[in-house]
Amino acid sequence: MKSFESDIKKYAEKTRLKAIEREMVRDRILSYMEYHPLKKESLKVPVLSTLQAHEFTYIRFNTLWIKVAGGVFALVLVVGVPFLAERSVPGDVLYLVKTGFNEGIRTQLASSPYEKVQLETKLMERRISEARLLASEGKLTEAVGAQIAEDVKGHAEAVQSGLAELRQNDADGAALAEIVFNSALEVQSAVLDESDNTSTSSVGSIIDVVNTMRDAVGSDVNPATPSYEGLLARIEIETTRAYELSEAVKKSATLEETADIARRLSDIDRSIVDAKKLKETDEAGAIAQMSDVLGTTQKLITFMTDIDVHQTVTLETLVPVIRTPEERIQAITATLDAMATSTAEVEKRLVLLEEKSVAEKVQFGLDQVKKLRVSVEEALTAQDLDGAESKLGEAEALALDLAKMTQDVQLEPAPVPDGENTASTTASTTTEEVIVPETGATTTPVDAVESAAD
Amino acid sequence: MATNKEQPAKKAGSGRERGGPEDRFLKAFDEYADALFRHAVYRLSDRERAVELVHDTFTKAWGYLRDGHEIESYKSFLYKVVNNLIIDEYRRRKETSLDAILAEEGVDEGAFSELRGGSIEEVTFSMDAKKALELIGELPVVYREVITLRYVDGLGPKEISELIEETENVVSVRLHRALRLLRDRIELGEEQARTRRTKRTP
Repeated sequence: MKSFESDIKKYAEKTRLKAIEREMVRDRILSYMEYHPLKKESLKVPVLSTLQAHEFTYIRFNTLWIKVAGGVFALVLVVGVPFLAERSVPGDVLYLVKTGFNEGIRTQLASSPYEKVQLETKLMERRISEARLLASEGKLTEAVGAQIAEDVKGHAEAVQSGLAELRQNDADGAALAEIVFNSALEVQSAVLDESDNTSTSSVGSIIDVVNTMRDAVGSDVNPATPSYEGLLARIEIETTRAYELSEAVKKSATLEETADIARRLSDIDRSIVDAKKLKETDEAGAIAQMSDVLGTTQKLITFMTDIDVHQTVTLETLVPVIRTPEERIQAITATLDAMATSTAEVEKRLVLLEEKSVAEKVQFGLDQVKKLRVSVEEALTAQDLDGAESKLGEAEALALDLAKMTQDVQLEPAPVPDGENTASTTASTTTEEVIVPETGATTTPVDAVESAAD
Repeated sequence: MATNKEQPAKKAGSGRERGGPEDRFLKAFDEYADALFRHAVYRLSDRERAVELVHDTFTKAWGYLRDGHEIESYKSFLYKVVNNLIIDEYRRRKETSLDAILAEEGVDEGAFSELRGGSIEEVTFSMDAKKALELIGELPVVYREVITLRYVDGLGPKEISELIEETENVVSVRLHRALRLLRDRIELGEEQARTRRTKRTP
């Protein structure tokens, strides 16, 4: 069978179109195809055949341009949009990306409760910063202001909630986070007050929220107290950061600003040394001082890192200079000198006082001032600067009162040498000395010169 | 987003899209033109007409494509078309129906009992293939059809049954009968040849 089948096929295959026939038929078919082209729409009609199978429909996605375009699109989506959104403010299209996506990721990345509290504090600062920016441009409408105030409140409450959670497991961490939060509130309060005075839009609603939060923190009857060691460790971290930042800002800051920052860093270092000494005798006092140092350091960091804060308030407002003992002694001495001049003036007027009861009061006051002065000098000798400053304050206040009591008493005019009337005109106009003429009427130095000329 | 079904139809023969319907159509011509021609030659015993049928087969196939259909298997589709054209040709020639042709030619579809006269292997044993091929044209139309499809075109019984729309049993019976007829014709021819040689020999 196979032989017959293969043989017959072999013979049959010899029967085929001649080349010329084949070419002719092919040309005719091609011509037919050209004059009867396929219709585009006809290509979509499904096939009706028992032998056919459905053809694959595939989509070509692996072309280079699609890959490149897709890559660029993904890059823009993943990197560009969140980056641009960081600069957005309420009302911008990308603001939701900033608050929903960017900040959502940061919240997810905060691993410990302490970091979460820190982050919520930072987000609260951002909302306030946005409000101040809008206010400075006059774009902070009442509705937007209310919305931001609500957001600020939300972040502040999240901080409080985080602190409560933190206290249960990490009291030390909670206390430290609370210090940071308080310092942030103080900074924002100072900045908002300044902004409210200078901006065309009011940030009053946000100030109210911040002040409410400050009151809530201040009214805490059982404030968390961190351990001395915990404070020291956190201060070590934060001061290191502050020093790094101060080096970085030197490139753009003025000499005066650089000196101011260096001064605050120096103050912080000195306070730390003092607190360490204090711990030997008073650990609670040392912890309180260290807490202040941490808060101060946080404020300084905020001043260096937040350009809005930097441009709105002075460093002295946020972080006042802490004077050295030498500076304090120098200031006390200078005040004592000024007070001596003042009391000498009072003594001169005392002899001219006509009313006896007043004269007795002034004399008594002068005696008290002298006693207080002695106390100050004794405190200085004992290196008790706080005591010296305290007594000096009392003496200064009393001396001021005495000066006010005798300010209406007119001293006798100083004798004017002949021939110097005209020449002394300029000098007389520059002195504040009051010349009392014989008539008893008060005249200006110019009047006295004119009178003498007459 | 384009699919290969939606390649724009371009002018045939000039600028055809590779893999497009025109391209596949012409490839089918290159592949099956000779086979269709051979099939037509043995069915019609007319070479000139067979060439025309090849042309007609492909123009009909192209028209089918133009109507919006797709041809997944060109082989079976083209054999179906050429078979229909050949039947049409028979009808034109005889001016009668295929059933009439069958009746005229005394073909009885019969049954499997027909196969008891020997298997196909037994029937074709020692059969001269060259002579069998020469005698296909003398077979009745329906036997010519199955013999051509089976041995000239090399199709299996199942393919043939689908093509001519008959059961495989019918195909087998027809093949069996066709082969027996061929063998009888071959034997008859050989007998006649021997007789002629005997007459010539004094």
